[in-house]
Amino acid sequence: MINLVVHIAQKEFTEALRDSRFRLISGFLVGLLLFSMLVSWNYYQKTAEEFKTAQGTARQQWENQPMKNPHSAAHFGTFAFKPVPTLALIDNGLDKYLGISVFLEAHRQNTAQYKQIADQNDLARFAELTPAFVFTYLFPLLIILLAFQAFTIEKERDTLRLLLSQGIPIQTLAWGKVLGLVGLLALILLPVWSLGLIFLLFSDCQTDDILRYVLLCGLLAVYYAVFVQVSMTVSAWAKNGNVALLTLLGFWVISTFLVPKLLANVSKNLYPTPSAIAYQTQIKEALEKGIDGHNPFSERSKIFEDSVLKANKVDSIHKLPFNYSGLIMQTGEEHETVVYAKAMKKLNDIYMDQLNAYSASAFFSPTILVKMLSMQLSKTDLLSHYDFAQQAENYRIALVRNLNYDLKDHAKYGDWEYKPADKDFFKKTVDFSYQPISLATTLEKAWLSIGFLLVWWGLSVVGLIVISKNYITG
Amino acid sequence: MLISFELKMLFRNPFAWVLTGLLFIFLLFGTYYGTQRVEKQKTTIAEVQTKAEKFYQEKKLLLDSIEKGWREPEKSWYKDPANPLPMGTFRGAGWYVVLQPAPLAVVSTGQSDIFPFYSKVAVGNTNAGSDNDHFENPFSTAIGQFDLAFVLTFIFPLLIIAFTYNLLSAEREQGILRLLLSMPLSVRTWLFQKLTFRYVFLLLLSIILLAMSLGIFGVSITNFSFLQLSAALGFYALFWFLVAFSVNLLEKSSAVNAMILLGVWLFFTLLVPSVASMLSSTLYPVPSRVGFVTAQRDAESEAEKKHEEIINNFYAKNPQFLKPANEKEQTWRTRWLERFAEKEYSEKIVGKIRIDFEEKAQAQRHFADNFQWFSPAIFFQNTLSRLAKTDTETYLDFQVRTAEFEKKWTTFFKGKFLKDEKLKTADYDNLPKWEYVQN
Repeated sequence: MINLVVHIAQKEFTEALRDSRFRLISGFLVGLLLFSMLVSWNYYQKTAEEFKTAQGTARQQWENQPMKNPHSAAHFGTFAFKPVPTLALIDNGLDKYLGISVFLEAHRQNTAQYKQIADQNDLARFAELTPAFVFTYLFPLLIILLAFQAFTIEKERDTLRLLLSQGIPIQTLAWGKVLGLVGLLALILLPVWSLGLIFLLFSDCQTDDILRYVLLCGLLAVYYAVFVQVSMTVSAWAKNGNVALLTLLGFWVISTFLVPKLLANVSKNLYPTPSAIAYQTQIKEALEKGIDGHNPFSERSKIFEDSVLKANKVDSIHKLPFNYSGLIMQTGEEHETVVYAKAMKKLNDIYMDQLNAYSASAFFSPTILVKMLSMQLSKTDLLSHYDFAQQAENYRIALVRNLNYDLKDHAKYGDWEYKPADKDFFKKTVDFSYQPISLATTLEKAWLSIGFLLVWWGLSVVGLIVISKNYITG
Repeated sequence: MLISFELKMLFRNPFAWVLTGLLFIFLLFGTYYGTQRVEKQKTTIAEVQTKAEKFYQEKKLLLDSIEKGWREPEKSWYKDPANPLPMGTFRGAGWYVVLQPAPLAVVSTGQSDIFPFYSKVAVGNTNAGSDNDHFENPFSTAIGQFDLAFVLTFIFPLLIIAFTYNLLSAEREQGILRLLLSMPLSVRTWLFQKLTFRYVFLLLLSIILLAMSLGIFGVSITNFSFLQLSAALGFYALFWFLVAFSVNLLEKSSAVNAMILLGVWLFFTLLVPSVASMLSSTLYPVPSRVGFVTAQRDAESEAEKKHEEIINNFYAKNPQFLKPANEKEQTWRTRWLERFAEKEYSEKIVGKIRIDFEEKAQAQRHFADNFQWFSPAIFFQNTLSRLAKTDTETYLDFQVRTAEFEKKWTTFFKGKFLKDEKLKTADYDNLPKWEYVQN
């Protein structure tokens, strides 16, 4: 039985290899893929270099600033730049649509600025030729073209009856054809994937990246299996090749273009984002409810002052054992931090809710699952961006605290001309080092999509078994 | 005779009904989401305009009471409605410049989800509020919107393909072609007539459905733009019918025809744009913003280090601002004078970096624009965005006009500040006005 399956697979495999159409289309696809890999590689090398230089320069600029009051330095601020993850080579995901640098300053959390898409030609909005685009959008098309005739041609040529009369079970025939096609795909994909791995090994990647890459290839394999089985099922069901082809192409258009775009709009309507104006007003109102370090005369500041005096058992801020200005700055800062964190979280939660609602499109489209997964695994999705933004914010909090506490501990009250005595003061302030998001964190979010993809795979297997039993009667 | 026969065939074809129904549903969806986007834009514009107007109305009333002696003059300089510096620069001061949506803005999202359509202008600042972000999920921006432009550029050709791919091949596959050939009629003429009929029919149908869906959502179509849109659609559809005609003449089977036509569709809607975009960004690279940010910072640091020199230069050139020798103490006035001098210095350097950056970005856009001649899909999409006024050009122009307005605004307030003039209630009626008529 297994023997027979392999036999049929071999026959299909050889037949397709001899078909010039197969050679033409797959050659074209592989060419496109290699081309996109080279371009991504070139782009990646350039941007990774720029990022490294910039992050170094930013630190130098910070360290070499003229000696000044530490709180003034906190206003002068510094930058955190978002690194380009190595796997952006495969899928640059949302990178073009997200800001690349965050300005870190006292009193406020800024969002990442400078979206690449605003500085670019607008053709990028049609589609981008990345390896991920070829893998997720074009390869399924190749599968459809290779598979739509699998059964219909036997029906049209009346060879199906012959085959069945020789006692070949229908299931054996179906799985033989599936195996043959899988073999063909492996012939194209394995070298390409190995080449990708080599590219990856030659860039500065971590073990984590390799794992992610292998996982991504594995998921793509499942995704292709879904398309192979769905195409075979349709071919078994359809009366002729024409119907099979049109049905499958319809499925492709719906699952790659229509449903994703449509559901993006629907999920935006389900979870509307606030307007930027409303958002800023809300932050402003919340800020006014706390202490402003720069306004020691407000009612709240006075209450705070009294409590500090009481706690230290003195009657005037001049008699405090530390500089009161530094303390009130830091106290104000802590309130501001909470306000911004809350506002930011609220907004991010809306985006995440939209994405979750969006996952519902998985019911109509395996493509969208793979698109989301490949971004997540390439660290170019929204979650990775938040992870970066959060680390930048944590760094900002630490840096500003560092500066305010120096003011509190070393300056005399009222002396705004104070400068730290240590010439290397700014060199000794905390530095920013970004820890890329871990695979475990990514998987925590991704497992549901992976599960959905496996469900698609299971359903396509069942579909092929049921349909081939009921529709192929010769 | 032929026409009535063809019509009968189309009406009795369930497939044609399904496709027409789908087209109508898609058009309705596209219009619905487009209308929502435009409504949101209009509300926001109204909101920011009242915000600015209210601010200046309040200050004007306050100043009026002070002038009439009903109120004590304001003691804090930064709250004084007669002080041109705070009234033009900070603490809620500033005027919102806005870009009103065009009559057919619903048609294409274009770049409207990337570039801002309003901005708060204050002295020396074109985005004083930092409040014009698009809170748009980056994922859906990347996926692209389901707007009318998408339906017409991507889906519409697929419908044409579905209506035409097997015109000739089906006749052959059903064995009718032989019959046809026995008539005194060439296949080409027959195919041509059949396609012409379908072209006119489908085009009229789509324009009617489009007009209906726009009408349902209250979008006015009695304008020249809609006529242009219909004409553009006519040319775009013509291109796809010509492709279908040529492919039909190849005399392949229906399945092969479908494959070829889909290949052509993929080529023009996805491959050409993506390769063109990539070529443009490789051949005309825009320097990274990362470098821009650090260069900008360098300019600021430079200005800070040269503080003394810049200030001395400033006073040497503008001796009228020099304080008498016995007045050593800095006032808010001298502080701002020096701040402006420093800003002017760093702005000179940053301006150069910015112009260089923008020129490179512009060069890339110009180069990419050429590719519209290689793909009717790009050309058509660009045309729709131009008609909807959501193309990059419009937004860049808006940015230029914003910068111009900022100059006007700054001249008005900073001018008074430098001359140490007070604002009067009459000045509040003569604030620089934002007027933007799209060309």
